[in-house]
Amino acid sequence: MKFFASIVFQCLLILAVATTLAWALNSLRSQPIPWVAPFPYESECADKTPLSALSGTKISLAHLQQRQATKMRIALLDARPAELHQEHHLDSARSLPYSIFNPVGKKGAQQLEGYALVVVYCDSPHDALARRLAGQLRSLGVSQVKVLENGAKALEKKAPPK
Amino acid sequence: MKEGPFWKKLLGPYAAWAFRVALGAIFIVASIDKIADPLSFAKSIANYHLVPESLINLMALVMANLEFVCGIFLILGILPRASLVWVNGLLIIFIIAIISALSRQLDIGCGCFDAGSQAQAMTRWTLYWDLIWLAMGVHSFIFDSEILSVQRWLRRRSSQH
Repeated sequence: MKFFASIVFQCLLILAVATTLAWALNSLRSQPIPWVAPFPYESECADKTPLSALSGTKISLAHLQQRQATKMRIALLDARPAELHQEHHLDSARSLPYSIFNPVGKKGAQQLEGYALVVVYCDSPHDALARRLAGQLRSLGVSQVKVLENGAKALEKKAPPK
Repeated sequence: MKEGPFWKKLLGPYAAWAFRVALGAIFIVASIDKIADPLSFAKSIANYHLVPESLINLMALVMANLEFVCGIFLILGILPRASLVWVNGLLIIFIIAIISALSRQLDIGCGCFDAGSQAQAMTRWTLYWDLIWLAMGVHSFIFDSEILSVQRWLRRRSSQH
């Protein structure tokens, strides 16, 4: 018992030394990184495309509807949680919730092969979830992916009456 | 320590010392790039998709320095058993993360020695190496008798006075 207590105490001591060293070295940096902070978008997925460069990959609802009218093969993906998708969603959309813990794998990306266009939407501010999911897909080689601009507004029309 | 045949010593305390020093060197080498560029290491951790986003920076900062401190302590023989607990614990975490990433077919760098863009791609060999190091760490924890350690030297010195 004494042996285990001693090991636990020593482990805490080592952790304290390491944390102090980390704090000291981080303080010495010209631009210290925050200890607890929302992670920048660019780093959340393997996609290294900066946020600014993604502006050309947006598509408006009107433009999407035009494309759908031409019988183009389009996959419409709902990046919101599955429960919200069940409540209401855009016509012909399928649920593919974005999750940092359960990213889309190669198998998921393979299911999107053969589509001329993949459009991702969500209802979060600045289409954040859809952008992240698009980033995951892009890193898996799905190049024809676009984010539906202002997904929240597009979804408003489909929301069930309160 | 009981005197026994030489081969027993070779498989026991001497091997434990060699494994302890080797693990210390490996952890120091692995930590240097991570300490120098914590943001790249944070990105490597983020790529595994296993840690809550808000804790990624904290983990990157502490883990890199923990690897360095444990590495130094293992080589010098300062709190060797506790350092081995940390090293083995970290290796178990790495093994779980690697298995999780390989099973999800995530095409990411392992972030083991180089956290930047030149990070080695993760393969099954990344997992095998971690398993070998874990075996070395467990052996060292069981058989280490603090050969050539600062702790032993300090104990002897204090008993002489």
